Amino acid sequence: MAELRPRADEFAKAGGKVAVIGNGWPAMAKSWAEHVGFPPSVAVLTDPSRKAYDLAGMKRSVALTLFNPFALVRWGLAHLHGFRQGKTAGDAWQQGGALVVQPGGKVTFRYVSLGPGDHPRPAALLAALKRAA
Amino acid sequence: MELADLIVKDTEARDVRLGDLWRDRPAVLVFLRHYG
Repeated sequence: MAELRPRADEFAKAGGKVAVIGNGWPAMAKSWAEHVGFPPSVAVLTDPSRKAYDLAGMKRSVALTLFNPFALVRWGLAHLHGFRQGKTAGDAWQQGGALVVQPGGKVTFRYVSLGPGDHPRPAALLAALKRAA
Repeated sequence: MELADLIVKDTEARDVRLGDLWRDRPAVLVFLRHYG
């Protein structure tokens, strides 16, 4: 989700807070955040217990990671566009996703990833944030 | 446990209560597969 970085200011201008949550140790999060170069408006957090993933309804699956033809296609497309994945730091079987949460705790947008490379586009997240504001 | 009450860590290993992220404004939470 490093493609969020160039649009981080748009999220702030829309009145929302962006937090990126991983599942490694804080030192892994710090190294990754420095590599990606998120602005201070983006909170880079980590949950080694992965409880947040469970509570948010995200999936964890070996099959979705390794035996997923759609992921292979997405990997090929990303490779063509110059993306190179670095060394995995965190739980390799954990899938990602996204939520938009209103003040008060109502979840107004949920995206549950079904494999590597499957994530919501920044434009979809920004539109969901604007609807929630 | 509610998601809002969960304590996670920031890059300096400080505690962060998730619910504080959306206390005053909507929040976008992006869950990574992993770092890298």
